[in-house]
Parts: sequence; C-alpha cells; structure tokens
Amino acid sequence: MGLAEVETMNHKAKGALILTAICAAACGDTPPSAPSNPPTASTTTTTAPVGSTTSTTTSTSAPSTQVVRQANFQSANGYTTEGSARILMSGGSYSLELGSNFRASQSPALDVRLCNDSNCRGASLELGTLQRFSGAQTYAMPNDGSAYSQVVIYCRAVQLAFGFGTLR
Amino acid sequence: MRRTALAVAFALPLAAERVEAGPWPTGKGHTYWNAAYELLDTTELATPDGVTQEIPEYHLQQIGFYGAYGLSDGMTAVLDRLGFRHSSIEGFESASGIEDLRAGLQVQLGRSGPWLFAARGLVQAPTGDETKGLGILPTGSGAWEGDLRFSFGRSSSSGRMYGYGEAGYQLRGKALRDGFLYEGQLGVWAASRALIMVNLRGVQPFQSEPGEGGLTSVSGLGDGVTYTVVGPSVIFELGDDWGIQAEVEDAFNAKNVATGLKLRVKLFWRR
Repeated sequence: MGLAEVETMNHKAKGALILTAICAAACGDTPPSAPSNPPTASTTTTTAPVGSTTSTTTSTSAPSTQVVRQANFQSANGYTTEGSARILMSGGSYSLELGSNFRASQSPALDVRLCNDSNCRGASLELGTLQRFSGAQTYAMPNDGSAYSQVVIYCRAVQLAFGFGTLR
Repeated sequence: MRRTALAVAFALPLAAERVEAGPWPTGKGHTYWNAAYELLDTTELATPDGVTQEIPEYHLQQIGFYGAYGLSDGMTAVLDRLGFRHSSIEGFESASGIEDLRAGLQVQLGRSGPWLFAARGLVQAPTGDETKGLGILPTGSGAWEGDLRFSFGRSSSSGRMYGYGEAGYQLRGKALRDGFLYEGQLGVWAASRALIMVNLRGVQPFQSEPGEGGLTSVSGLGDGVTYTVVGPSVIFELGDDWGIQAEVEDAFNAKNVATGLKLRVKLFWRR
C-alpha cells in the first residue's frame, strides 16, 4: 500500500467520525460524559442504620435525613429492653427509629411512647404498638417530639414501662 | 402398740378423703370430687425482678372441677383440673374461656411405718386459649405441659392430725421455663365435723433467664411464673359424704404473676 492510499483512508475515517458525531447530536444521544446541565452537588449528613456509625456522603437528589436526638434503652421493672433509638427528620417529617440492636421482653400490648419520665406517668405521645420484639423498626411522629425527654416501651395493659431511654 | 396401729389405719383414709394431693390413695372403687370457685381482685403485679408494682385492677374468677377415682388400691385416676376462667384488667380487656385440662395417675409407692409414699404424674393439654385478651389474659398456656411429683405424708396416732409434703418437676412446653414444684399441708380436726388446714405450695423456675418466645403475663400462665403461696383452709362436713371447704391464700416470693389475697370455696363429694 502506497502513502497516497493511506492518506486517502485517513480522510475517509475522519469524515466518518464527523458524520457519526453530527448524527448522534441530532438524535439526542448525548454521551454520559458530557452533561449539558449538571445538578448542583450537595454534601449532606445521611443516616446509617442505627447500631452502625453515621457517615457523611454526597447525595444528588434524596432529601437529607438528620438525626435529631437519640437514646439508648435501659430495662425497667425487671423486663428486658435494650438497644438504641433515634428521632430522624427527613423532608420536614419526623420518625422514631429503633435500631437493629433493639430487643424487648416478649409481651403483648406493648406501645412505643415518648414521655417525660421513665415510668410514663404524665403526658405522653403514643407512636404505636410495638411492631416486633427485636430488630429495626420505624414509627411516624406527628412532630419533632421535643416536648418529651424519654422514649419508653410501655405495656398499656398493666401500665408499666418495660424499658426507657433518655433522648439526647 | 396394737391400738396405735389401728388408729393409724383408721386415720389414713380419713385424711385421704379431704385433701386433693398427698400420698393417700382414694381406694379401689371410691371417688372424690369437688367444684371450686376462686376469686382474685388485686392491683398488684409481681414483675420479673420480684418487685410488686401497682397496676390497674385485675379481676380473676375461676370455676374448676377436680376428681379422683380409685382404679385399684394402689392406683388412682385423677382429673386435676377442668376449669373455666374469666379475667379482666380495668380499662383494658376482659376474656373468658376454658382452661387447660390436667389429668393423670397417682401410684402408691409404699409405706414405712406411719409414712405413706406416692408418685403422681399429670399431663396438661392446651385446651385453653393463650391469645385471649391480646395474650395478656389467656385461659391457657398454649403448650403441652406435665409434672411429676413425689409425695410423703402421715397421720398422727390419734387420727386428729395429718401432714404431707410434695416435690416435683414441672415440665413446660414451647419456650416456657421448667420449674421445681413443692407443696405441703398440715391438718387438724378442730371439731367432729370441722377440719382446719394450713397450706403451702409454690413453683420456682430452674432458669432465671427467659426463653425465646416466652410471654410475660399477669395470669400466672406465662413464662417464669414464680410464687410461694400460704394460707389457711377450713372444712365443714355438712353430711356423711359431702361438705364445704373455704380457703384464703396470699403469695410471696412472686414473679410474673398478679398477687393478692385469693379466695377459694369448694363443694366436695365423696363415695
């Protein structure tokens, strides 16, 4: 093959590449490496599952989740309650999350409540019936629960606390 | 000596016809039955740590039947419990239903002087409902259970007094903790037709840690139930083959059960 032939092929190849690029642009097949309007990157604190460490990551679109307060459970009245809990805020709504390390005595009629003392004798905010005796679980909250200092596992039948944790 | 032996032989059947437990046989072809009404009204719950906490009023009523029939002189068939219970917690729930059925056999092990020895094995079928009242007010434990007890007892030479003791193993199904059972009774004839007794009985689980799946409840049917109850009884014979018995008992050393004064009245019949 002579030099003239090689140069001719190079010209043909360049022409093909140019045509391909024009066609791709016309069809909207924009290469992923060339965004036209990249979103603004934001750094937020996201929550890791309770029981592991909180990590800081970069998110592109998910609403930020913040730990408002957290507590470690103590057993009460001879019943077993252990593990951790935390109040989370995400997108303006609040929830209480019991961690994967949560465990409670197996008794019927147990509620999750926010109270101002460990025996839940005064006003309280009832978040619902305990979903499971162990493991992670989440309860929606109507507000941030700032009026209460304790998260309590409470037996509504005998009106006794099975465990409590001070929210900090 | 001969007089004493005769008195003992006479006293043993007397005692046997008036107690539900102990080593005395019913005797071949003989039978004993009672129907009992029990009442407990309390605001006390013994929690798993043994501390008594105040709770809303817990109300328990039970009607139960006990029967014994002498299959032979050395073997007695026992219907230990056929009962119905109604319970409630103020502001919470109420529940009613048939209790677990208990039945078994008593076998005489022998005699040594004035002392009598026997073994009793009972099986408890889960005929009750462990889910009643959200599981807080069950009428049964929900598990097959059983116990094996050994008893000893004797009467005084005059036949005016008797006493017995029992100890045994309580085998509980599912994840309920097994326990050690004990019981005793002393009785004395205060008049020709009036017998006064002092009772003691209890159960102590072998393990302190609850098993997986064991439910906590006020009913005395849950896991880890512990108690020692003591109290007096009195029997009035109203006829040659029937009478009435009344007893009151209270619990101490209790865990996982509602406690308080329990009243029990029985009508008994024997033949």
